[in-house]
Amino acid sequence: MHLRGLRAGRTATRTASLHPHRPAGARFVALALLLGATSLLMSGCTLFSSPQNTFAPAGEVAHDQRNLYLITMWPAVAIMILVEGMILFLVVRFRRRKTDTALPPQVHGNNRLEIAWTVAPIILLALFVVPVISGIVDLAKRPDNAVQIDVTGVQWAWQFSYQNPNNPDGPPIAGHFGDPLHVPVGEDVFVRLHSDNVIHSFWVPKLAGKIDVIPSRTNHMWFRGDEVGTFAGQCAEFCGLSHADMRFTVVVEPRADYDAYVGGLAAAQQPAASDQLARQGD
Amino acid sequence: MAATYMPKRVTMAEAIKQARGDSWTYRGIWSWITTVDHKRIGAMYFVTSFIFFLIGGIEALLIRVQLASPANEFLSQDQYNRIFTMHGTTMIFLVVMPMSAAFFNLLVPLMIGARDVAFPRLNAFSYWVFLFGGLFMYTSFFTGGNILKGDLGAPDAGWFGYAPLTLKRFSPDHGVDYWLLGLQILGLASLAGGFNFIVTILNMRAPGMSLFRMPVFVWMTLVTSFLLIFAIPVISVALFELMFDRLFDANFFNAAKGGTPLLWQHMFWLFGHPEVYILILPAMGIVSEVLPVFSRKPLFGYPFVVFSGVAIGFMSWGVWAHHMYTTGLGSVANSAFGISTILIAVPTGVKIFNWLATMWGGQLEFKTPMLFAIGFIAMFTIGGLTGVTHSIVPTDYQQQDTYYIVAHFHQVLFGGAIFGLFAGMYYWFPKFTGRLMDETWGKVNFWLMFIGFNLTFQPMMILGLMGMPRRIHSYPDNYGWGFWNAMATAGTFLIAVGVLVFMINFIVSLFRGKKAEADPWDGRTLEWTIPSPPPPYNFAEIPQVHSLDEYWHQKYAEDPTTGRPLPVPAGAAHHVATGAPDGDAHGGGHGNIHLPDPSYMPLIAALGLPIIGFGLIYSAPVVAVGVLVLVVGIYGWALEPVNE
Amino acid sequence: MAHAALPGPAGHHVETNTGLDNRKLLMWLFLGSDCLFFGSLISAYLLYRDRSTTGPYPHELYDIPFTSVSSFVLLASSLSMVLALAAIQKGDLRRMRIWLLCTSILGIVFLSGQAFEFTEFYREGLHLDTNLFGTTFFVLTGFHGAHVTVGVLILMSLVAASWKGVLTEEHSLQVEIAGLYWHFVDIVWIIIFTLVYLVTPQ
Repeated sequence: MHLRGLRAGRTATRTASLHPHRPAGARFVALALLLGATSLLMSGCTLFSSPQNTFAPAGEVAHDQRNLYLITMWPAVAIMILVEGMILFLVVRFRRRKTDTALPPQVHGNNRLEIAWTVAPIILLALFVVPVISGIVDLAKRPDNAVQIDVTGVQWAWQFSYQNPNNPDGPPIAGHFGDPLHVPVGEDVFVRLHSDNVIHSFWVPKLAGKIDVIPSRTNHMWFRGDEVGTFAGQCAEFCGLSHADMRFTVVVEPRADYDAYVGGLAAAQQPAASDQLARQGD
Repeated sequence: MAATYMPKRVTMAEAIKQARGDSWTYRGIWSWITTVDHKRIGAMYFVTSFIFFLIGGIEALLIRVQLASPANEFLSQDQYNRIFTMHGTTMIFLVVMPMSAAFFNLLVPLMIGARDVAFPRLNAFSYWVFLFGGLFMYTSFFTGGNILKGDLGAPDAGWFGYAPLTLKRFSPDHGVDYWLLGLQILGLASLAGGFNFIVTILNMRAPGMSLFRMPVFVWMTLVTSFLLIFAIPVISVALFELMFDRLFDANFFNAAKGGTPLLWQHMFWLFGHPEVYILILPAMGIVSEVLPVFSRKPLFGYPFVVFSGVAIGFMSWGVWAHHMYTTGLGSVANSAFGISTILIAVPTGVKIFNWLATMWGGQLEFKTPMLFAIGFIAMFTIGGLTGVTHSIVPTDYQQQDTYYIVAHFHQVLFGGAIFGLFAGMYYWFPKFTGRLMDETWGKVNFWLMFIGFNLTFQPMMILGLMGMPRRIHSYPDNYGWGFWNAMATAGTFLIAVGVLVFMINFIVSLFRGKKAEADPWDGRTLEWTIPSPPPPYNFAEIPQVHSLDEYWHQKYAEDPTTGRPLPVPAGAAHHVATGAPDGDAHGGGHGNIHLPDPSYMPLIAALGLPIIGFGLIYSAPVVAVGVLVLVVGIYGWALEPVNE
Repeated sequence: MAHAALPGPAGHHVETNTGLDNRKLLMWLFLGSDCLFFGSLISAYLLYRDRSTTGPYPHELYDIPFTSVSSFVLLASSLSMVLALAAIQKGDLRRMRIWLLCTSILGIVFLSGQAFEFTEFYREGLHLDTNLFGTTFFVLTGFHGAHVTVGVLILMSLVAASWKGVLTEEHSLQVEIAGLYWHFVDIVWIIIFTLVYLVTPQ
């Protein structure tokens, strides 16, 4: 970058130099923070490890969402570095010096620049439109041959009801409130969400983004668990006093184990706990 | 009785002496209660909103102490829910909005060369309604039982009050009633203010001040005021509907009778999204004033900065459902709002680039207002970029209702709006007090707040991506969130110290600060042409305006060869040759300066509103009393002899 | 001294940048804002039309001829309002009072019609809490009725002020501004009548 107007006697460098009287040392702070952050990052992944870490996806939907996020995050980081870097540059390069007695040129604007920095962001942002729309459509689909599960939210627990293997079109078999959600590994799962009380939100970060559970409508979502394991989920819409406690787990297991679990529920003949499931059984 | 001053050509000193001699209008508590002077109303707005800022800050500290470690029991679940609800409600409706109103009040008439706003009593009414609305809402804390034992009665359904949680069935105590009635009352204050400033700006500009010669801050006030007058009716209807559901078992949000809770969300966010631009545009206006002055050159691209503000105003109506991506609106709706939300980043980017270009080639002076203004740009950029990441619908399914969102909006509301407002405080303190704030302590304040802010909210981005939802009273031990939460809590204490430093600086400077002249910063706009503090009538002679940055051009002509400004000879600055008669266009005539009479009717009318509120909660006859007080106030107001 | 006077300097024309008097501009802004208010209420009504899970339903209750008559009454009141303004602009305060009184009476007749309709519906089982129709209908038309009531109070205040000699020829602006409000309320009613009463499915 060509630095204009440097005083004679000061070494011209490619980077902005530290001026001894620079007030407030913004660069010092920025460097310190950067070093601090880097060392933290280096200190081990444990700082970023969590049962609900969206950056450690274990299912296709969460995986695609994380990748899409990275596609937007990196350009955003680049722009941030550009703008913040520009600020640091301006702050050092154009600070008022004791030798500045006359005022600087009173530039009012530049139409070409205005057009440039209006059009360029539009083009850049337009690039996101395609992945956004295709992502939306993909997430709204109802996959063929999906395992169908009904989710019921109450204050403050979850209940999961499974398609009856003996009577697939009949009423689902309900688990107990608080039991984990069981799904077969590697198979698409299609959930329908019901509430007859307040709004909740069904969220298993490592498997998929969230969908709200709203009285008077039946929202739905699909996801797939790609790894065997137990994953943490949590209600993500404020639903009253013990909203923080409305957690659940998802057990992603081999098909055989899943069938055994549902079979066990069927054998115990649990009726659907909520009347509306029976009414709705479509 | 009208305050009348004798005719033209008084010197500043004589005029001030006469104003001070007009004793009863400007001395004592009664003079504050009956004031209709925009400068006094602005001061009251400022002090009141700052006190609410401290209260909201204490609420934040309580939240952060509770969340500093896993499974903490510093606050009970009930207390936590009430405190976070009040923190959000307070900061939005009782801090940022009224503090912006403080600046509108203090600056707009001065910047357009007027003696006051179009409707001074309506202006006073706005303030009293705000004060009473805030007090009304905070009364709720005491209605939960024994407050000393920690029983709080405050609203507990979030600042956004989603139905059905807010219905009587799920929120049986009066907290939500206080919330919805309080917001109705506050909405009236904002509505009145919106009307007042639109009329003032459109109708009362000094001769020669066309719309495109107005300071950017005035433009932002205009856009914000339009947003207010169109957005507040929407939430007002939503609040009425909620009130009818709660009080009279209406079915607006009753799923059992076929209603849908989404109706609340649509109406709330139809208000809510313009609302966030209402929160940020005034601060953007302040930054647009501070940057040029401390860069010693004009705002780059003035028409584009203005247009982008207007564009943001229009576009803000088309994005509301991006708060509802996860509610199952369907692919078409989500796609449409995804695209409109992506696009609204463009005008904001235009502003940021123009601000940077303003600094480019300037001679930057890092006084405290400038530090906050630059801090605004730096922080708002990050906040805006995270906003763009939210607009990407599929990833918002992960981000919605997490701390990633909390980080985003604090980035723009604290790092943005609050920083901008602090820039304004330091910048205009000398104008209204006649003294300068201490520069060194100002810098200490800035750095404490800047570092503290980043320490608090950057970890929240990480927490959100690590799956921590919002509005949770505590989290388990083995979720890996403890470290970042602890860091965030540490940051809030740094912020608190910074705010404390500000308060001490403010109060000490008020009494012992270095005396400030009319124009301590070598400013560009009309407020710097009058004494610090300004006389009651603002301008002895209404100025004649010839250009944008009128005052700057009075001080500096441009050298035709180099384009660099040259100072004009002393003495030419303050007396502009004007063919216009003195002070006639705005409230006076025949060479006299007429100021509007003080009045207590606005306060009486305002008092009726919380009484109606209490009546609706507790006792129907009290409603009648409130209505009576309101009507008496309004009739008194309409019929009293005034000279406006 | 302290004799009551209406705001607005008598005979003194205050210059504004737009040429519009401050108070007239204020009323226009208020009406613009009120459009959003009624728009939200009407939207809620339209959203919930046909979604009541139980009766009574609109087509069982509406008496379109009756409501048409009261709508006509309100329309006529706009005419008398215009005549009142014309009168004061010609300096005829007595005529203005007559026409303002006429407007008020027509407004009260309209409100009486509303009250009658409300009580009829109530007797036939439609309450605020009965179903979506009851909720949205009463709230929408109720708020409109409240606006008309405030309008009548304003008009009667103008009549009283004129009787007392406080409202004089120079205050035609006040009457014009009241007229703006009154016409707005009338237009809103036309929209409500069309969307709520006339466009009703069977």
